[in-house]
Amino acid sequence: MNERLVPAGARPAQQRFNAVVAACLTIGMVFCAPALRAEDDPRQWLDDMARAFSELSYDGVFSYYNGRELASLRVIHMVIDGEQRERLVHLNGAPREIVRRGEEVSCLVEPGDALLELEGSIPIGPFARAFVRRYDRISESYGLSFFGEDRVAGRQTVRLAVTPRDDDRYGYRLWLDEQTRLLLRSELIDGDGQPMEIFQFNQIRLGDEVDAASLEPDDKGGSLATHLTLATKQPEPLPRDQVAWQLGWLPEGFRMAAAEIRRTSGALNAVDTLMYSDGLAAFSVYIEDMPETGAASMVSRNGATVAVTHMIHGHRQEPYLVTLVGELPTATAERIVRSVSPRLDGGDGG
Amino acid sequence: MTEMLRQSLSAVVDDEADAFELRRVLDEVGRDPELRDLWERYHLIGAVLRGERPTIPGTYGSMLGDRVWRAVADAPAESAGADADLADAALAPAAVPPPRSPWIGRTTALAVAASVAFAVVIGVDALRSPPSGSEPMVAVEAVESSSQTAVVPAPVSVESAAPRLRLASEISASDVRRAHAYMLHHAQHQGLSQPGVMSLVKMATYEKP
Repeated sequence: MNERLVPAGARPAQQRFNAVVAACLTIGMVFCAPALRAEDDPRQWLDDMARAFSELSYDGVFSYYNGRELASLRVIHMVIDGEQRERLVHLNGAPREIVRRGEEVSCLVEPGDALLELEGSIPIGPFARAFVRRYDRISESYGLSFFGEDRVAGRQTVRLAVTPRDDDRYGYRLWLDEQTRLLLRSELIDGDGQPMEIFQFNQIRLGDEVDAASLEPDDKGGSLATHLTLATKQPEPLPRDQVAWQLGWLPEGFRMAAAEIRRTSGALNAVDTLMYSDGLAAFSVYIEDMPETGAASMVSRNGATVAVTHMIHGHRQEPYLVTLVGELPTATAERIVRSVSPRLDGGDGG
Repeated sequence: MTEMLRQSLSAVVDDEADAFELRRVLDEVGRDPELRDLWERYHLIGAVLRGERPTIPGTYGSMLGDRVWRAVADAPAESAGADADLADAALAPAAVPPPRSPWIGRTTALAVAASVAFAVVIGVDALRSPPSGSEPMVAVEAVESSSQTAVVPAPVSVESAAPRLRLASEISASDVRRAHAYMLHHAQHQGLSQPGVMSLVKMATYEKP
């Protein structure tokens, strides 16, 4: 052991104490060895992160900040008999629970919840995973790098930066649990390096500490009486050559993920939905007949999500309302939405 | 509303009108009582005359061109009397039009700013059927109290052929509802590096504006 820790001439009791301290420090250093080795690949960590979320059992409380409001939520996740089970509980504001069994997701709300007003406006389902994070494609549009370590929810984490290669998308900073690679904190970063959305676990239990009983919704004596069932059957996507619309401009690396026509429940409008992704960021384009009462040209934002409207005309000069929603810079969203046009027959879809 | 005037309004809205176009717009305003009614209804002229730049999200005034506003700020001080005339003519409901319209011939920056605001109003209503009392007013209060979304007007130029995309000052409750519904629909389809239910955090935390 290092002689400096056991100074010559110290009394025997002191020497023994110093030796014990020295031994503890050595052992401690071994356990605190850095989690990263030089050869670690950030893409592998991202893959492990995705797997951790779908395979591990965890029960935690997290904060979510969208630039305006700070919310607290609890999430419980387990895999039971091969089936994904999850429960998300909104802990402040409107009491809501979102419960998932396999591919079936339902949202429990109180009667009169503001969410119910949206139900007739556009389809709330199906809950189709149109966007799957594709980490192999991510390095086309983003640089990946580690930047040190930190402590979140009482656990050691490794920090990973996802840096956009241009101004047409946002970046991320991710804090991944050193032991399980579970995501414990993330920041969605705008062009100025400022966080637009923050998600962070405040406390978390893992593995055997998670109780399956926590997956059952807490009905609080029947107050959560209304269910919004998010239909889960994945619709047949339209073949590309039947898509009636095209985008004249797309940021680098974005490709169409799905295209579908749906009919709203209650309303008579058909809405064409086109979805695009670069492997990480995603946007959806909704095209419908212009409503009789018209619609406003507007830009609205919820955290990193922007919604922009635009009007185009079809082949017979009939007006359509186009709405683009996505986690994109506003200027990029506006540029894309203004490039939407009806496909010329026989042309190649965007 | 002639095509030429419509295009002038478009230029004014885009902050590209020259003094001549603005003057032409002012002339139209002085001659048409229906247009003056629209002005009063939207109250923009009052705010502009008071030197206030409307900052309520969703109102058109908040996107008046910077050039116009700088001109307002730089305008030489008017005599109190002249300003009072201007204010009275704008705000007095059902006022008898003075023999000579206060708008014609005024070239101060203040009048320019006011006319820009009014010109926008002309553009809006010219595109629709005659205004009726039941039409939804701009949902400014709703947008103002929104704690979750910030709605800002998008630059739009007045189009000629019966367009039905309203200017941002006309945001209605159904517009806001549609935007929110699509945002939640989009959020649900996010595949994840976060747990499946995490994609629904935006749904769980939805607050009515």
